Amino acid sequence: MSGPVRFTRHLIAVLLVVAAVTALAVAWAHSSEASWLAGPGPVSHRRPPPQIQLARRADNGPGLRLSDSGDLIRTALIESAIAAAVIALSALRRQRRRMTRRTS
Amino acid sequence: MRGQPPCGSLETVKASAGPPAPDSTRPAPAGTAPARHRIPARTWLDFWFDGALLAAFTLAYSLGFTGLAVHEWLGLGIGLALLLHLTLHWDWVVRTTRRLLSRSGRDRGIWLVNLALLLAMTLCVLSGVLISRVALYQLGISVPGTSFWVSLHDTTAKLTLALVPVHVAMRWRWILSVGRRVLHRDPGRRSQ
Repeated sequence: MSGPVRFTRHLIAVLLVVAAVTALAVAWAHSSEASWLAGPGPVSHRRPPPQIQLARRADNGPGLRLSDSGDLIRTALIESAIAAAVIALSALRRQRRRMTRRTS
Repeated sequence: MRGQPPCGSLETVKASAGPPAPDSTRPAPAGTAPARHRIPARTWLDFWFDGALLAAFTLAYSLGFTGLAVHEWLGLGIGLALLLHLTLHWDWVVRTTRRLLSRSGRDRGIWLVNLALLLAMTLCVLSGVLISRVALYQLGISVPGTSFWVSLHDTTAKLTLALVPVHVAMRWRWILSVGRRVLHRDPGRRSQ
């Protein structure tokens, strides 16, 4: 199978998966179980979560706000902390496996 | 493609390095890199494309820094990039899914994290599109965003933030291995 043909087949498979997830989400939004996520009451008139409210208050203007980098630093720190924990766990498990192999 | 090492894996890098040539102790000719520093174009693409995707997600999540317009355009871009990322790694998805029962717990763990990330990111981008107020408006499209989609966007964004670093960190040895080669500034380090 040539490269472009294989790529197209893979892309179609991915689009099908994404379409299935989308269909499930739309079905969920229209089911009675939607209140499980959005809370009780009419779905369209509730207050959005704080982060969205903050964004709506913030601005709709284009461009990055380089002076307001606290949010970016916070995101990077969260990602770094989680990644470091996973790497530490992985290294620890690897070390234990080596120790077990040596002793056995 | 079958029988080849998985794309974006340590095996690819090892395979690309190849066994040392009998005369590998000699200095490489000017303008060429030693064999061990050559990186296949596909590995090069994976490294930089995935790095850009990570940076874009970090930026997009930092709403206070980007503002709503950049956040939405980045989100749409991440959605398209996610499709490409999945397409490029579809072989891995199929192979790992087939061998799921026979492979090690680590691969099963990676597969489950990737599945959760696929669901979370797809729902995050979808709900983001449906509550868009700037990007789609500029494209002349109006969407009926309800609080369900707003809540879903908020929840899946947090879930994605937790899963992305796990997804990256589970391949840290590949990243380290390729990163060392990529950042080793030799001309002609890429092999086609």
